[in-house]
Amino acid sequence: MNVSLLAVLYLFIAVTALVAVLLEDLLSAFITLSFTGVLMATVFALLRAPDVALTQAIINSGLVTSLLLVAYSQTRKTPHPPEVCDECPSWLQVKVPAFVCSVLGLLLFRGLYSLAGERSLPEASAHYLARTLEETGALNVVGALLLDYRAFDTLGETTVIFAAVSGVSILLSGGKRVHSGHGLSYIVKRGMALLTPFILLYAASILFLGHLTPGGGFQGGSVFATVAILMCVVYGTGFEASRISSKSKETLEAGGAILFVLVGLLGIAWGAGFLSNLPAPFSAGTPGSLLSAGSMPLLNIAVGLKVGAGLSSIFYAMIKILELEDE
Amino acid sequence: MSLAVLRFTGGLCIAAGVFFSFAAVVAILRFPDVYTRLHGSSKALSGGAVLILLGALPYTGTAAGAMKLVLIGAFFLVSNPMASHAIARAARKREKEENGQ
Repeated sequence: MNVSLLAVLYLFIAVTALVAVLLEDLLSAFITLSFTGVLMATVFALLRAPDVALTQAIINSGLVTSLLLVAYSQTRKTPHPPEVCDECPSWLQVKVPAFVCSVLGLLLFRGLYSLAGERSLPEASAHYLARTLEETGALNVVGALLLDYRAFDTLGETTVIFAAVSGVSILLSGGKRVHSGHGLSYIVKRGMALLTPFILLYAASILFLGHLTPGGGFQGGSVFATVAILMCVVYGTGFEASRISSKSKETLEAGGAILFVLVGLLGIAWGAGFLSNLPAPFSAGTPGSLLSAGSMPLLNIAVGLKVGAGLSSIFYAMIKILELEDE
Repeated sequence: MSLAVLRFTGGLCIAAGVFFSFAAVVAILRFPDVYTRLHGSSKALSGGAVLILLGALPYTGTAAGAMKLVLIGAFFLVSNPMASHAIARAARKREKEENGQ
């Protein structure tokens, strides 16, 4: 492990985060934050956590930035608040938060350094590393943890996404979709058409090989959602919406949830407990082949459907309001 | 022997790539308006990143790794001019709107 490289990366993470806080212009702050995300993804990859690195790169740098940009473009600029706040003393405004942040930062940086070194594993981790292949048939231990040992937690997480999508849709509902915008120029459209199949292939490989390589349903679904957002930006808002309506996105999302729960119920039917993998009638298959690891590919597809459809419908709910105000 | 030569060439490529990236940063800071800055900053990817990827080729060791680097470079070469073009167009559009009003 190259500790000096990590130190440089940590320094740049701190610098970009600080710049993002200090910048007056929100737009520049968002872009700086996405740099922070990319640097953090690099750190995760160096610390041998490629699953987290993928999630970080896709979600933080891609999706969150685009959602923030949409939110920014539909909010009004307010004049800067007066410097003096009557209710709290001035030393409390800057110094205490700065102190708390630096203490937290120091603690976390120390933790990151100890992560880079060699450690002895806790008992549970050692068990998972040694016996995952035998107990689940999956090569990706992180994937096996998410979709086999702790599949119930994953169901909870996808429910959180469902709640977020419902909340955004309810808050931003009302009004018809206005078909406006012709998108970007011909050159960008053709270039996007050239790149889209490869991005889709990448998303599919992350999704379907989730039990073998880093990645899985969450990351693959997010890349699918990114394709939808790119389409929306490049071809204009009407393009993708006319091909995949918001109704069919809802159906896909609900289908993902139903598939997940059905797989879980199969476990109960075979007397092995909710969401159990190999004790239920799923075969482990040959390690390393596409159809292996029991129910994990199915669960990956379910999570991917849910996340992809959910995140892209959040984006569309936000962009819809934007268009109504542009009218 | 030939690998050593290749690696030396790779090092030269990486040095050139670092130079291009540095020049792009100087360009962003020093050039007067959006278009010239864009002209400078697009070199950071087309010149800098692609040269660095080329320079890293001899160090990969496997054919699959080298292929990945080539693909990433090709992706940059396709996507970067496209993004620069889109930004320049948007800037031009905005300029027109501001002048028109």
